[in-house]
Amino acid sequence: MDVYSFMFYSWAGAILTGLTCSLIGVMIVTMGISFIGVCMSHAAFAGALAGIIMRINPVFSAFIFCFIVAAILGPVSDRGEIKADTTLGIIFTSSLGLSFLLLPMIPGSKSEGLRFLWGNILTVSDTDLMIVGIVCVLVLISVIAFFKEIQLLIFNRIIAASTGIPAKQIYYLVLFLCGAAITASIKAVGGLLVFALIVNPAAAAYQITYDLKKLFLLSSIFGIASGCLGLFSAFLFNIPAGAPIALCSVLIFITATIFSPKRRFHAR
Amino acid sequence: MKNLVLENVTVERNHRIVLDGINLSVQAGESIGIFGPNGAGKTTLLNLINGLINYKTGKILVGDVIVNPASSRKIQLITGYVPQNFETDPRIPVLTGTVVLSGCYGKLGLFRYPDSLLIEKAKKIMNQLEITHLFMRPFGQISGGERQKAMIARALMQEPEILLLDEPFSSISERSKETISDIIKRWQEERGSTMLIVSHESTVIEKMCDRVVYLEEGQIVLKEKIYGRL
Ligand SMILES: Nc1ncnc2c1ncn2[C@@H]1O[C@H](COP(=O)(O)OP(=O)(O)OP(=O)(O)O)[C@@H](O)[C@H]1O
Ligand SMILES: [Mg+2]
Repeated sequence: MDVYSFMFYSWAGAILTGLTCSLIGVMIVTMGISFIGVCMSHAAFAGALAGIIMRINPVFSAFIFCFIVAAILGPVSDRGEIKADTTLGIIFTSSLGLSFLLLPMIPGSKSEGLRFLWGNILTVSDTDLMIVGIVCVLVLISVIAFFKEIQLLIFNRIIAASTGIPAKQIYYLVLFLCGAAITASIKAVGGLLVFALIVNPAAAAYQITYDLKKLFLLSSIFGIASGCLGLFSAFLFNIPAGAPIALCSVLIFITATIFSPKRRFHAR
Repeated sequence: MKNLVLENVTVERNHRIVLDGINLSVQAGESIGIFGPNGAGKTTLLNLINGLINYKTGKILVGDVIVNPASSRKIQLITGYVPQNFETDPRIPVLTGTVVLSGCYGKLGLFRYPDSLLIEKAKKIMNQLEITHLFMRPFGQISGGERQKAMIARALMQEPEILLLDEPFSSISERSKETISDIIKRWQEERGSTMLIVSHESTVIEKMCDRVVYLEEGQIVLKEKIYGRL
């Protein structure tokens, strides 16, 4: 690969991943189901390892694992029967346990497995880029097409259902897209760090505005900025990009919190 | 408009019977008051009619449609529901005006957004309930009574054939209660909508309802007509 297409792949990867994750993040954070994102990202890592061992495409197996988490947590969170932290604990620990079990089983070098832990945006292939691109477009279309339904779901899922909108279907669409976004990003930013890119930009935007449209917009800007700043630092210090991307999103969150008009308002 | 029939309906939640052999027939345009102690099953009854929860045995008919998971969305489109007080995150990114407008989201269908006509209508209803000034305020940051008024406005916005009100006035001041119950009553009579109101307040029930139903431990123990009506 020549240096130009290499640069193009990494920057396009950073922008698309940042955008996709931060849009998903707005829905996950405002619906109060961040724990589903945490569970999915850990399950995705375990899924990728399982894929490597079984010699199937790790991105595909990661998606299957996310899908299973959605199938378990969707109905549970829908009924509100089990407290989120209990379920989170169970799925979180079982994914990590499974990952630690699977990691030593990978034949030969472990680096292929560890890649899915912290990711490397510098090695995204054209297929990887295409997957992120497709998921990004799917997320964008869904947010625009179902904006008013998503807003009502954020407001209250039961009231949304009582209004006669297809509340369940759209809720599961959001979960599906969350899984798709995580698996599409896992090669670039890693299974553990992808969650930072989902939650932090949305949480930062949430410090600034109550308007859902602006929330999506600001979160996207923060997500893309995290991706680009992180990638830039990765080039600068010659390190894998996952960690600096996650840290940049944290930095943006802290800055937004300090300058939050809401916070100043509350302090008064 | 729509009549409503419940035949021997039993509801179980967590292996406990919470509604037990309910028989109730409501004519189109009739207004029923439901009262009874806490935990009697009043909210469950409204959720049931709205298609939000399933029942174990019996039959529920709205018009000639049987309420079940397959028909629930159809039912929800024509029932306006004002839920009992519910928790809202103060930071929820939804404005009060949006909440009122969302009453018609189901009827509007996917991919369509409220036009200026609907926005005008929402503002008119909010004006009647004296909450126009809340249009641009985050819903999580208005008072409990204001929230109830917004939820009532939202239900009227939907123009439902059946109106389900669960303790709609519990946080609303005495003065507003008078005017708002008048507005709802007038609205219901004009359209001939069927109405079920859960309330602990006998003055509200007497004023707004044709008939009362007393619920206790999941059973209807009394059905009574209110004097001077029907
Ligand atoms: N999600 C649930 N899971 C299990 N049991 C429930 C659930 N919701 C309600 N119940 C039970 O069903 C019964 C009826 O509850 P419901 O909310 O209908 O009472 P209510 O008459 O509306 O009371 P209140 O006057 O306090 O609003 C109660 O005993 C309650 O414990
Ligand atoms: Mg109740």
